[in-house]
Amino acid sequence: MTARSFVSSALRHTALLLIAAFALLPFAVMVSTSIKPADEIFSETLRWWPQKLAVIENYTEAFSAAPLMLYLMNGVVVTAAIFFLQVLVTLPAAYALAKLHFFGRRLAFGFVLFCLLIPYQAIAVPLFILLYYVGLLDSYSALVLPFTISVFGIFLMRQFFMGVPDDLVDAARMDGMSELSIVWRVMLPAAIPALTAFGVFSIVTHWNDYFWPLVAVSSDKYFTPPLGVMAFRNAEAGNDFGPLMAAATIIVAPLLCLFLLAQRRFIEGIAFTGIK
Amino acid sequence: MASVNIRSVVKTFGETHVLKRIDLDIRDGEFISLVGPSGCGKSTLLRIISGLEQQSGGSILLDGATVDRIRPRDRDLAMVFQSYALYPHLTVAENIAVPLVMRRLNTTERSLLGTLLPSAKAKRKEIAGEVGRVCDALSISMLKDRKPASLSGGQRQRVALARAMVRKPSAFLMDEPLSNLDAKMRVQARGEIAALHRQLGSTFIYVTHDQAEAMTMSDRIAVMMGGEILQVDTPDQIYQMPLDLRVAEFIGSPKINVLQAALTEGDVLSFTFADTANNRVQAAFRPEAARLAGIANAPLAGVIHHIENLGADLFVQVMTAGGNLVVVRCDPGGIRPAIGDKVGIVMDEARLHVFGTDNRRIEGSYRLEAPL
Amino acid sequence: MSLSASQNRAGLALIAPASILAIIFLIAPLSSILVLAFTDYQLGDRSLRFIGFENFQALIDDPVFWKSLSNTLIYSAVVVPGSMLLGLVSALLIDAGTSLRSFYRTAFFMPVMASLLAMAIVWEFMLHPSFGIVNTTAKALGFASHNWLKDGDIALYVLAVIGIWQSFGFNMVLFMAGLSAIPRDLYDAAELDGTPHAWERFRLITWPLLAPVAVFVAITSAIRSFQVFDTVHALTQGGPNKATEVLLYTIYAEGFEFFRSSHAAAITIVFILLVVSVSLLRFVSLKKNGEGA
Repeated sequence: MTARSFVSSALRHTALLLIAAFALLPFAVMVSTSIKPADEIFSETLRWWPQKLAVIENYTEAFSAAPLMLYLMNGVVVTAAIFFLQVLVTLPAAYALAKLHFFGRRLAFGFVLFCLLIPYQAIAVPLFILLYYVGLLDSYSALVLPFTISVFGIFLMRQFFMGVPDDLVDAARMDGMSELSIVWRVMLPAAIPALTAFGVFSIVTHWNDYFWPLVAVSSDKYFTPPLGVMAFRNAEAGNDFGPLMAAATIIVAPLLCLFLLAQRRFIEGIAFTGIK
Repeated sequence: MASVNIRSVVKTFGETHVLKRIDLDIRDGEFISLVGPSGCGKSTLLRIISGLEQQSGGSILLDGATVDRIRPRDRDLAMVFQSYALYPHLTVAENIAVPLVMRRLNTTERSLLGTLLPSAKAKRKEIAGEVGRVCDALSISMLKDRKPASLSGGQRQRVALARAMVRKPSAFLMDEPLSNLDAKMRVQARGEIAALHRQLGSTFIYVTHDQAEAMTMSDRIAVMMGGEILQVDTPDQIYQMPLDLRVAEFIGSPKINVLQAALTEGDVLSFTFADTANNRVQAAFRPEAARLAGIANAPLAGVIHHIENLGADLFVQVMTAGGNLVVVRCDPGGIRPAIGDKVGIVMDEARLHVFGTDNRRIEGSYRLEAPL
Repeated sequence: MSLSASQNRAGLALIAPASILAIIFLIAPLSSILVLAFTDYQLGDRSLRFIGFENFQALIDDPVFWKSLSNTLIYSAVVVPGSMLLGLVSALLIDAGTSLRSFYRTAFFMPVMASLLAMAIVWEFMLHPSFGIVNTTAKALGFASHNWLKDGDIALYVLAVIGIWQSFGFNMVLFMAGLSAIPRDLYDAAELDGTPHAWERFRLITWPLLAPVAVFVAITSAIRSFQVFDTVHALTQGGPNKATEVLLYTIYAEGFEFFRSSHAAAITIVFILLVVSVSLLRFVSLKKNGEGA
């Protein structure tokens, strides 16, 4: 390595490490605090690794003070249900928009493009009123139903399906498949990369979503992870920081672990859905 | 096995007429090629026969019965696609089994749990046997467990053939199945498909833009252009007796020579003053129907512009005085002409074709006007 | 049945579930927003009355609405350039070398993945006036400490920093995708043509070829920043003294705390107009790029 390239490489790493410190600082603080006893948290000296570990105390306190497992389970159930239903609804529609000639196709696609522009928070008020009148507020249905229709998913999958050769569809028809079996037996397997990307997008979005669950449910048996942390903080009056940070760690960990295990897939998925 | 009758089939896309009243009778067991330049409507016609596309008018008859309202899957036809259209997520054996699975197993038997049903097991076993026999016949048994992505072009093409064959359809439809192969593989595959046809004895309808494929494999060729069939005939007849100048130009390589000529009294053709004469025709002759000669007494003369040496043949391009490029086949064993030589061209009068200004053939036995 | 008719039927059947759900959960709510905004409806009312533009008139007269709108725009004006610049710099630096690429990429992307709400609570702890890491560090370095979230002059900017922290990794990924699409040959050619400095190569090749990505990133960031809510709800509740009141928070408070549905609908329309107009900028920029090419 020449002196010049050594210097530039050192500069590159210095700058990147600074940015990394900024990005990771809250995580470090969170984990570090979650294993500290209270007296060390309130001390003014900065110490990343506690003198006396309080892992067990803080985490047992977190689990006993609030039903964190229930919140996590709710998160899993809700995100899984949303994604499953989205696939069920989205794929046939995306296939029809990409490969079939039917009356109103252009109109339907125009509508999809239009709806892409509208953030869901904008229709939260009428959705809330709707669920209020049908008596579905404060239930799993309230958390799941509004997201069963994903215009973004339809758009994304339709774009991907446009790239699937028409010959493949025709071959399937000659082989005796119905249009619906083409969706599940030919298009679905061909769309695995796009579907993974959409899955990452959907799961990350709905696991982390706070606005809608906050509006839609009030009983803590339906709380999703973000609502759970919030409830925990409010209940503990925000002072018992060790267990609070432990709770935050528990809530954040599942998705982050998944992300670290398959970080390539996640980043590609998000980039794929981001660029559309 | 089936005969296919195409009766006055018309196809329009909005304002464009893709097919203008096509009539064609394909005999049971025949190998017929639909050949023509891209956009001539040949693929559309094939897709209409298959049922993947709906004609705007006219009928398709299979074995004498109209199938216009029958879905593609129920027409008992198999199709081989240009891109092969293999299911990328299935192995070779699974790909080949699809048409049988879809036809013989019902929805419950096809489902995940259904695979446990005894009836499904028996049927799957039977299907596996048939798939095995087809794979043996096409010598792709060693590929059975591979995915399409790991196969070469030639192997994929065989798998696509196998998937079509396994159903024992009454007719095969092939849409440019060789165009994704390299030149060497293509020649080999031509022989294989022709052999397969002889062995199965089924009707083959083969679409291609490559006249060589059509010439080498078919019983009959239908030459299509601009949404019409210009001529249907055996390869020999198409080559030797083209009924339309466009057919003559499309079939044969190098291309047939076409010159403006004047047809005078007593079926005498003249290349001089052709431009000004009012009895103008187009005279055509193939490179092998002419030879180089001395300038004296030759009906055409010019300067050698370029020589293409293909080993077995020499194709000499001669720029005539009238500014036409004429190709003449020579024997490489004979005297080698040189670029820049002034030569005369003599044609075999029996192999001269004459077409009117409407491109239709004008029958007759012609003589060439002696040079001035 | 003819083929086109059967395709027509299959197509309609396949989009039917999506269409029905879209009517219930998108079209109906969207149209009722438009209707609600012109009524006096409050949640639970048995009847409603059309009152024309009164809700909008009330908005114009309401200083909180103006505060909310301007706060949203200020927040975006900080977060969009901030997260774009940091994202771009990160992408360029990562792309400039070969070592530790995936470590940095993963580290920068972690804030995007983590639940913003949980991390907001961590930030709140870090910004704690007496023993938060920010103030203890500031004190150790000899700077004055602040009550970051309770100071009306800086609270909005503190939220913007959290916004930048959360979103720059996302922008970095988009920029990296854009960078990878630039042919390496161009850099070799530039070097041979005599542009040895990295900065000149950036100006000559990277920036012009990255410009369409940058426009896209800017618009996406802007739309996301208009939707800031989690940090506001968790950390400041719009305070102190409306210093961090933003549009979505106002809609939330009006619609779900005071149940003044029609009033919330009117603000929602402003919110939609803001988002849609920025989204439409994208088509304008696409068109311009298309003509330029």
